[in-house]
Amino acid sequence: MSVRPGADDPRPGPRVAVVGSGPAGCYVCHHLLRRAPGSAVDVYDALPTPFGLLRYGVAPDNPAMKSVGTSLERILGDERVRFFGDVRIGIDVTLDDLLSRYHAVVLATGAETSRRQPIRGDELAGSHGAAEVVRWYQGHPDSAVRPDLRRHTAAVVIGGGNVSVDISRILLTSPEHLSRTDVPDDVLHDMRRSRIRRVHLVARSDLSHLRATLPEIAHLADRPDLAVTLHGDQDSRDDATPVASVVRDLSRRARPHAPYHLAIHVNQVVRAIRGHHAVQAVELASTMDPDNAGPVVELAAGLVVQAIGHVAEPPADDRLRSRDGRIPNVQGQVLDTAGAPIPGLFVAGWAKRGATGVIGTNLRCAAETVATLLDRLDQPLAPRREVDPPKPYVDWAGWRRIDRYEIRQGVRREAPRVKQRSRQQLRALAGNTDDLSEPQSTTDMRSPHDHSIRA
Amino acid sequence: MAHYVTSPCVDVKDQSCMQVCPVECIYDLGRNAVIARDECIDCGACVPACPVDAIVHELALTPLTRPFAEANAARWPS
Repeated sequence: MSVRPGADDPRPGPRVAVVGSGPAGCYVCHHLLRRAPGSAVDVYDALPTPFGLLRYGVAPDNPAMKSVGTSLERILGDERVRFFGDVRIGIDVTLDDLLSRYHAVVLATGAETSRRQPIRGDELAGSHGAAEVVRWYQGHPDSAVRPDLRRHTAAVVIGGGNVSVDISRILLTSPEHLSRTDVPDDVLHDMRRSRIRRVHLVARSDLSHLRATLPEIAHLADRPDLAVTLHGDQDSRDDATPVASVVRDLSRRARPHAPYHLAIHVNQVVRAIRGHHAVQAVELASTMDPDNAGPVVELAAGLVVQAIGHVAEPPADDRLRSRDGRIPNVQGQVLDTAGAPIPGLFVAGWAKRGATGVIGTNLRCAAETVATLLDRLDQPLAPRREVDPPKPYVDWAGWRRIDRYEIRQGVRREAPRVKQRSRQQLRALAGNTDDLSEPQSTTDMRSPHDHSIRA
Repeated sequence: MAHYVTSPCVDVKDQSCMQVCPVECIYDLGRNAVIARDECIDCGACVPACPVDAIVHELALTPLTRPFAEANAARWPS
């Protein structure tokens, strides 16, 4: 489908813009097209590639979960849906532009910003937020950090949720295993040189209140090359959840020759990060010892990652502010800073609920938002002028070219695909079929992107 | 690994699980639901969706719940 700037759109149903093409945005399309088959949906994404956290959040060593991509692809590939990749709302297009061109706009922009707690020493080199590290190993185009994996054999990951477990597990994955996943070549290069063999996961809660889910913990059980130990723990008779008993079982499994070691510390907080210029150690304190009367436990480490949650950042607009990590809304109807509904503006997914829940959670979440949206539409629908995308964007055919290229690159590594990191290269792959033949030295394991990432 | 439907589902069959499954691997087996083991991707979205807590991860099966869960799963061809 081509864009016809200025012309009135002839299609009968509501014209809806969905901002964000992750699972939540895709499921909004899915429910809209089912409940209002005459709809025309334009999906915008700030990245040249679709699928949001399915591509840049789901861990690379979880191919089963990535298979959800097949159904998301079917949704975005529908002829009533257009994809505008590489277009940032609030920068390239204003939210008001969208609101004037569509009958409804749905924000499905996720929760991208890592929560950071003020910890003494957090400014040292080697101390990162979860999103920075995840963006690095996921090959995110906006990745600004390249963690130094050579400084020490141990790392500390703060937090007891799934992201914390993901980061810990990936840092403890062999390059042989990773090479069969979709990680970019530059990540594989760094992991081949990584000295990290031990990760300390530090959780504030007790074992029965870990936020990590059982399937996430089950991934640890699948790893014969990983030893798990448990520290700072209560009596096993207090284990109240399947997660608690599975973690305890893992910690009792004898793995004397395992090359990788995950040490899970519960009931602990990081009191300070220490080092000269760069991280050298962290100090732990027990949550059961609020006065810090007990002995200080010190863990040597060269890398500290805070994985204590994410918050949603709405697109730049005076009427929008996030609260409690999400965009204020009632059943998906967005509220302005004064608490009044903004006509035509809706929200779904993590931006609506906060950073909690798994991919499938978004199906029902999107259904609720779509029901609210259809209920609020003014009938009869006023005509809307066709959108005028402000610059070259990546359309669906462009994504398919990127997709085919990445899958072809996977062959040499026996991987499902090899993600390409740089925005320039993704644009070139999407827009210029002449460039498809080996745009850069791809057989060289030293990544072409090495120099574009700040060390 | 996979998730299993256990006995509290019988004659309740609320089907909320089917609305949240991103790979549509939960099927109607008459009096209760069943999860197709070879299609389940272990995302766990169905677990909190179930009003009677009938869906359980393989690692959370107990000697009491395992026999029904496995027999039920075996009724679905895979």
